[in-house]
Amino acid sequence: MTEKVRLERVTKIFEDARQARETVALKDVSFGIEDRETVALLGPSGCGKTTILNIIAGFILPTEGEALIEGRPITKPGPERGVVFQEHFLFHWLTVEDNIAFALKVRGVSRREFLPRAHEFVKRVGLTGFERHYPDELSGGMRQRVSIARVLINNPEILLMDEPFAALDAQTRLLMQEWLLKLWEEHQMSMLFITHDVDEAILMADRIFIMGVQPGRIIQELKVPLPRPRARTMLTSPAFMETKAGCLDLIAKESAKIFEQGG
Amino acid sequence: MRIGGVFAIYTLSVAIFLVAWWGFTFVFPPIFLPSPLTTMRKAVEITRTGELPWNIVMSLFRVLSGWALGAVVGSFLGVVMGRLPWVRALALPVLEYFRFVPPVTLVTLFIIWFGFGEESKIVLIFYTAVFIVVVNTMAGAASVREGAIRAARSLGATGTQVLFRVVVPETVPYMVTGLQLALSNAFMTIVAAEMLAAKSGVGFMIWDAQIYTKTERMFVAFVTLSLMGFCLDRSVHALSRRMFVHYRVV
Ligand SMILES: Nc1ncnc2c1ncn2[C@@H]1O[C@H](COP(=O)(O)OP(=O)(O)O)[C@@H](O)[C@H]1O
Ligand SMILES: [Mg+2]
Repeated sequence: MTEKVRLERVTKIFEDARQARETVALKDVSFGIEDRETVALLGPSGCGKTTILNIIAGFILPTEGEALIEGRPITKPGPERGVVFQEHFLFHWLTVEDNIAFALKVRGVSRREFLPRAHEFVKRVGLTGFERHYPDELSGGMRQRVSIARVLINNPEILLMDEPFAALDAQTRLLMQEWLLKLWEEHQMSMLFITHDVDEAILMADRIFIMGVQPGRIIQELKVPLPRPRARTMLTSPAFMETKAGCLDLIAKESAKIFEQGG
Repeated sequence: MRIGGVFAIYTLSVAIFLVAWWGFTFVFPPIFLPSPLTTMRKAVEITRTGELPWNIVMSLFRVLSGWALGAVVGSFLGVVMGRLPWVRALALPVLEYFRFVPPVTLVTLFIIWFGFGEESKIVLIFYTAVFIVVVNTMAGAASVREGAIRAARSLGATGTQVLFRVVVPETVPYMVTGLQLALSNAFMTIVAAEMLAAKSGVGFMIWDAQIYTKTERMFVAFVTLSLMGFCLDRSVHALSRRMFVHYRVV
């Protein structure tokens, strides 16, 4: 299998000039994401999950080490890496269809051409009838679907999702997880899925990287032994339970370490 | 409160004011305080002669043209300053200094520079408006959500496209606030300027009435001013809210 993304010994240090302080957000992080694979980053807040995503997205550069997309160094953002943010960051002055068509518009595609394409994606994310609505008029789950459609229209190599459902209520979150699994079956792209929810990580991912803090790093890699297509019913299967027990064990050990250090 | 209730209160407030005004006319002689009715008669009279409409048009022309110029230049500078920290650092000390020079104090200087004609007044209004628009736009452009810019960049937008398709729309509410503040300031400045150096305009009417003690005319001018300011302010509010509903203009 070919690797879509690779991080090689990535270290990221943030310097706070005013307080003359350094934060080691990431220390020696290495991993790859294969074609059509979903990798979940699971860890407490502050462990560097968003920093990893920002590096792969090309928003920031690593202090040390290398980040590659299909073997090429990542130096800036690109449409082949679709980013879905926790706070959606839709363009609130544009309608749903214009938000979704944004990538086509900046490429100079005419309105006559991009509208049918946008409508196709409106339909694909189940928002038919809301083409002319504005983001402020939608529910949280609908907004996240718009922001996913907005990147899907670019036909990205990889989807980078930063806690996309964290702000949603439990019921909506479950619906969105099922919806995203179905969408994945249609598109079969690579995915980096960030979450701090153990169930969500197991349900979505093929591999889970459990992360620790101070410094932010990967503690352990875990393979999810669930078949595709995934379904909600698997949440109560023995294989799921076993994986979850393993995850919680690792997380507990890491928290105990921090606890003993007085963190 | 219901819309009807608000309207009733507004009407009552105006009524109380008029009655109080009328009441005071029994205490002071007409040369000090003409009654609402005489003021209105005078207003009708100088409307017929065309004198009042002409002065209103002149004031409006000066305010709106200076303000529009200030809006265009101020929005542009504000966005540039908001996005480029080094330009901001360069311009901010100068801006901070001139902010405390009241526009009225520059009337005579601008007459020396630009002559007694319309140019000097328009430049003065431009000066008044541009600072307010710059300061507000700059604050807006500097606070554009980084995430929105990143989203656009990763969707394939170039630097220029990010500027026009994200930074400017995100800055719109701040620009609108700046434009509204600038307009009310421009209005006050033009009246003062016309009192000092003009042969037309509502400000000139007050000055002219004052030296010849034509108190009735002065009161017509007062009422005209407050009505003009009120209408201008309301229409700009209503217009900007209608034009930019989805830009989160408050
Ligand atoms: N721009 C930045 N400047 C300074 N410190 C930062 C910056 N971004 C992140 N950090 C720090 O790096 C660490 C990891 O942050 P982040 O990647 O956002 O964690 P997570 O997404 O897992 O919650 C945190 O301690 C955070 O405070
Ligand atoms: Mg985060």
